[in-house]
Amino acid sequence: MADWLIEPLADDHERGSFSCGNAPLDRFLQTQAGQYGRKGVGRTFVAVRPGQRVVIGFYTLAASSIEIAHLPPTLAKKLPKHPVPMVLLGRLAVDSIARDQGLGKVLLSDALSRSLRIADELGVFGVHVHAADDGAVSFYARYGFQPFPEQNRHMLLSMATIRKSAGADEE
Amino acid sequence: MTVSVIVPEDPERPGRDVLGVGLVRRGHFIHEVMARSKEALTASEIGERAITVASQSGAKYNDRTFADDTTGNHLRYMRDRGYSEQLPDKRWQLTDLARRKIMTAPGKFTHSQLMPANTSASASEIRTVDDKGYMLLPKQFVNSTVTFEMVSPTELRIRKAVVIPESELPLLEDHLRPLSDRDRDFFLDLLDNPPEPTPALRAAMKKHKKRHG
Repeated sequence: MADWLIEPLADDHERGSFSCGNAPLDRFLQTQAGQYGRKGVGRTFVAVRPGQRVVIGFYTLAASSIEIAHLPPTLAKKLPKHPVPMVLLGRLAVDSIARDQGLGKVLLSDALSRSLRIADELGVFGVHVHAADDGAVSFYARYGFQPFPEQNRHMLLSMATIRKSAGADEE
Repeated sequence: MTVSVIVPEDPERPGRDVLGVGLVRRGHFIHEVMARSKEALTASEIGERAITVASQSGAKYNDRTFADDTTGNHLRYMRDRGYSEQLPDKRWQLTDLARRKIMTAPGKFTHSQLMPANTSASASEIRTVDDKGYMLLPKQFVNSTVTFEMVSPTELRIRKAVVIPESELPLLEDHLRPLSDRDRDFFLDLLDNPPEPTPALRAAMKKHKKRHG
């Protein structure tokens, strides 16, 4: 069985050869992820094999929000005046050498577990993601993410659902 | 129609192609046919195809211009200069020397620059020689980056491309925008009625908890 460690991106991680088939994602990891972390605008977590520093997968989390343009008075009581707080699963990618081994699922469950811990400390409604392509839409849909009707690659999973899934083994 | 030319003008000998023949002469059209063909051809086949090329270019010719014997005469003339060779089955082809001269020539032109076009239509054509090709595109493509798309084995689509440095590529989440009314209703419904986790989500989270506690 494949085994991985997931840890915060650090300077000694080797990411120059990372290739997931999506050039902007590769470039993000290689040139921007560190800056995002240092500036505090997004935190990247990487997957490595035990004893190695070569990155074979990663995801990035950032604080985010969803803004509702027109809120009817009848619904206004349900929601705060400010945008609804969310966790943005900014990017999730697996190197082609580690594909079809279940690493995407492991990264996603790690990201959701981490988001759940954040939600315990801070009010967060859910996790949202912008799927890069139809394959990504299918991937996220399998884990319960639902697309917005008019932004079908913008997908959402409520924290209540994540919380239920995390406690499933205790039921 | 603008007809692109595979065998270009010799920059050192204006009016003649790189194989030394006048650009509107019979020999040049024979060179064109041979350069465009991936296979060796008989003198008769070369003559027939040369008629088509000359016709598309608006050149004048008669029944004798590309007859088998006159075409054969030019092929032997080429052979004497090292530009053509005849195979044991009597078919003719360009020599490597001739192909190198064609491929490495700097000048490219169209027949429309040399003689009156026989139509006002403006089209572009591509002619290939082996794995290389020359093409003539409308002037709107000047200084453009283009993309090539193989639509089918016989059709190539060429389009202008907008070049954006990868570092400037906007990622999807850069386009966050306020929810529309329909998306808002969906969002509020999810807020009130969070769905049950899917089996895949339950399994993934259970496995994660087992590994990490």
